[in-house]
Order: sequence, then C-alpha cells, then structure tokens
Amino acid sequence: MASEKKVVFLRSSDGEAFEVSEEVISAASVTIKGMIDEESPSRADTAATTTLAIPNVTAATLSRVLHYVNKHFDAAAVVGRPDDYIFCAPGDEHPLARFDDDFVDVDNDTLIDLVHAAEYLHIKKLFDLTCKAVADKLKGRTIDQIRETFGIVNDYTVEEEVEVYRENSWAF
Amino acid sequence: MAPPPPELNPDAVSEILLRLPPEDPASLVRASAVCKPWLRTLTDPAFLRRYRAFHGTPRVLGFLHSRSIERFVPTTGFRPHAAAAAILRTCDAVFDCRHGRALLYDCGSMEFVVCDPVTGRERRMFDAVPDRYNYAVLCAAGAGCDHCNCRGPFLLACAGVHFSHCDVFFARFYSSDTGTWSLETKLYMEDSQYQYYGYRLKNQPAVLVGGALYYVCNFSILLRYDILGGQDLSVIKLPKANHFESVIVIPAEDSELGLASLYRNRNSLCLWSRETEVGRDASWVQQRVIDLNKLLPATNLKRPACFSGFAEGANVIFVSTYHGDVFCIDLNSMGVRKVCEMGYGYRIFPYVCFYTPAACARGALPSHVETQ
Repeated sequence: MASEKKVVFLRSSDGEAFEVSEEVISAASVTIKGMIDEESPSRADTAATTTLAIPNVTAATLSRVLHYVNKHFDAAAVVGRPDDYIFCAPGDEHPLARFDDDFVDVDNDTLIDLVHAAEYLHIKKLFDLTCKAVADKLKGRTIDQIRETFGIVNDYTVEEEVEVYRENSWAF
Repeated sequence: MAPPPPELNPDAVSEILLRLPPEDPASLVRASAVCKPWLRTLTDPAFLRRYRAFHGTPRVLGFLHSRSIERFVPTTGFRPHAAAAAILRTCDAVFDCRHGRALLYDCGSMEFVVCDPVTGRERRMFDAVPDRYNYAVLCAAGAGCDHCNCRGPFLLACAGVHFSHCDVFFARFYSSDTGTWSLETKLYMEDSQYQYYGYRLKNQPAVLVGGALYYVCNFSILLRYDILGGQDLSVIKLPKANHFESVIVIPAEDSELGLASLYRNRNSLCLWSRETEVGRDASWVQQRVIDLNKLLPATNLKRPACFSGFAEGANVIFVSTYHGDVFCIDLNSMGVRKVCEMGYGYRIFPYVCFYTPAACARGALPSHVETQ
C-alpha cells in the first residue's frame, strides 16, 4: 500500500532534519501522531512530504530516539512479542532486552535528555525504560552524588538534615 | 567549568522515584533527603497510591520472633526506627505482627505493647501474664483499608481454650478506639470423643483471611474467629490426612480460605482451597503439590520441615527445617530464599510493608504514647 511508505521529516531544535516512516513514528509517539493528524487535511491532496518541528529535542537526542523507535515500533524489525519486552529481566532471551540495556547505558546528561524527549514526544515505552534506568542509577549513591548528578541544589537547613539523618540512620 | 547537568522536570522526577524498588527502602529514604521537592513528591498521598499500584504486592521487609534478643531479622535493607528497636529489645515476647504493627509483651510492666517499626510509636495496654492464649493484632478498618501505612485504630484479638473447660473455645478482642475488651464469645464443642484430652490451639501465628482469624488446633480442626464480621466462633475440619507434619492457613487464589500442608513422609508442600458447591457442604480441594526436595535443594530433609509463619499480603510462606534453616517461599513466583538459621519450629511474624518516607510521617499508630 502506498500509505505505508509515507515518510515524515522531524526537525530538531538545532535545525537537523531526520527522515522516519510515518507509520512507525505514529505508532510510537502520541505527540507526533497528533501533529500528523492535524496536518493531514491540508496534505491529503498534495504529494509534498511533511516536516515537523520538534523544538524541545536536540539532533543528538532525536537521532537516538529514532534509533529506538525504529527498533521497537517497525513491525518488520520487531521479533517476538514486542509488548512483553519490558517484563523481561536483564539476561532474558528477548532480543530487545539486550538492545534496551545497551540503549540506556549512556552518561547521565544523555539519559536525562532522553527522559525529557520521551516525555515530550509521549513515547510511553521509552519513557518507562529511561525512567527505570535513572532510578537504577540512584541506587547505591550517596545523597551528595545524587545532587551532583542531577544538578540539584540542597534546600535543607543543617538542622533539618541532622534530623533526617538521625531519624533514618539505617538508610545512610 | 563544566556546564551544569540538565535539570529534571517535576513530572519526570515523580516517574523516576516511582520506579525505585520497594525491596530497597533505603534508596527511597535517601531520595527524600536530596531536596524538599523530592521529599514532597515522596510523601504525596497520590504518589503513594501510584507507588503501591505500580509495584503490586507489598514486600516482606523482615520478620519478628521471640527466639533471641535481636527480635527483628531483616530480609531487605530496612531496619526498625531506633525507638522501635529499643522497644523490641526491652519487650520479652513477640505475639504477632500485622498491618504495620508489631504486638509485643513487656513482662516487667505487664503490658502489651503495640509498636510501629517504622516510626517507633507505641501504645501500651495493661494485662495479666498472657502466656496461655493466642494474641493477634489487626487494623480495625477491615476491608475499608489497604493496610499500607494505615494509622487508624487497631484490634487486639485473644483466642484460646477455656482454662477450666477444655472443650470450650473462647475469643474476645480489645479495641484501641474504645480502650475496652469485648465480651467473650464461646464455642462449646460437643464431640465427646475429644473432650477427655482437651482442645488446644497450636503454637503458631493466627492468619487473617477475609475478615476472620484462623487458628490451627489439635484434632485436625481450624478455629475461625469472625472478628471483623459477626464475631462468632466456628470450627472447620482440616482435610483428612493424619500424616500432616504441619498445616498453615493461607488465602486461596480467589481470596477464599486456603491451606498449605507439609506431609510427614513425603516432603511435599501441598496447597488446598476451600470450595463450596451449591447444595453441598464446603470441602477441601487439593490445588497443587510441590516437591520440597526440588524446591529446597541441598537441604537435608531427612527429618521433616514445618511452617513457621505466613506473610499475609505478600503471599510468602516461611518454612523451617529440622536443622534450623529458615526458608521463605514466595507462593506467587515460587522463588525460594534461605533467610537465616534460627532453629526448628519457632514462630515467625513477617513484617510486610510498602516502606516509603511518608510512612515515617504517617505512621501506623497515633503519635502520642498512651498507657491504659
């Protein structure tokens, strides 16, 4: 069918355009599906390809997101039961479990950019995956390390901090 | 200087904190100490509801026992609050643990102590030395509460066999709301065959299923105390099998009454459910038989194992072997873990909870210490 081969271009905040199958990106991203649906009446009778501006996502992040989207949502590429992958424990045989592990094995800033991109683009599976990865990074870190990693300013007073440490000394 | 890392937006923060594992309560506490917005997220009731829904069943954070002075044995990183730890050390016996409340007895002051391991809050009730009966603690709200960090009134149930009439079961309960004991409910057993020997409750924790407490008794019967319903007593015959080594009440899959039993000779764990068919009496139906030799490999089962406790809500059963190893078996996943070496046949009272920093602020007991 002709409609399956339709492509859209996504333009990142720094001006780079990426080509992606319309069907694949519509299945993945609620936000972009909405944009395409809004556009569609005006382009039904023209052959021109659509370019959508994604102002909140940089080229580096967008290319990663599209790599993920093509792997997970392209029906031709997906092997097995695509919806079950998230329940696979690390080390399970599902082919995408390994892909996902590698995908989120990146530095903090990249990971946080991915969280925000997944949130903005409304890609639930990617949002789940990246949030879980950030939560895993919190494990075993001291409070100061967490603050440093996420650029958080400590707004506790010294007295409050002492109180928190005293009440929950087992956790520190 | 390196550019500052990208700041997480609040929605993403709440989604990330949602995914902190309940098996690692310390990570939640540390997250709450990072900054006040994170603390506010972690203590927001709406977040807590989502957290519980996201993670399903609450986790066994440890268990209580009366065997030694270290009354709390952790199975996760959780440790009782310093005040709770002090109470646990000074009390002489553990009687029960349910709905986030530990029930202890302090022989020095002759008081029951109901204590919240998370906050260390306590409530004391004077009572004469209670050694011959079974005592259980439970949230008074019943089905109206999910018992995750519930803080309302509680009930203290007492059941046993009448001290001068060994064919009469009785039960009564104390309400923390009114501060009084109820009238006794009695059940006269008419089976003369057993009268001479006398009934007794076995020395194992009561289990709450669907608003009623169940006690395993001798002569292969269960005593049912409908504490949250009509408060009546009744007995249910156990499946016909004289060769059970140990029996414990568990909820069956449809939240109806169920049983787990260990056979004396065969080292198999058998799960039962109580089923009612129209026009017929309720009967026990065997659901699953699990080979303990396969489940507990490398364990010497030449001598029989027995049940030590059951974690309501988490569906985890504790089994102790004759050589003193204690295993917990997750009946949902059939995962098995050795938790400690304690000895054969001691009662274990699992502490089941969704620990979140909010639990500190919203403990299971009123904040004031009361003595009655």
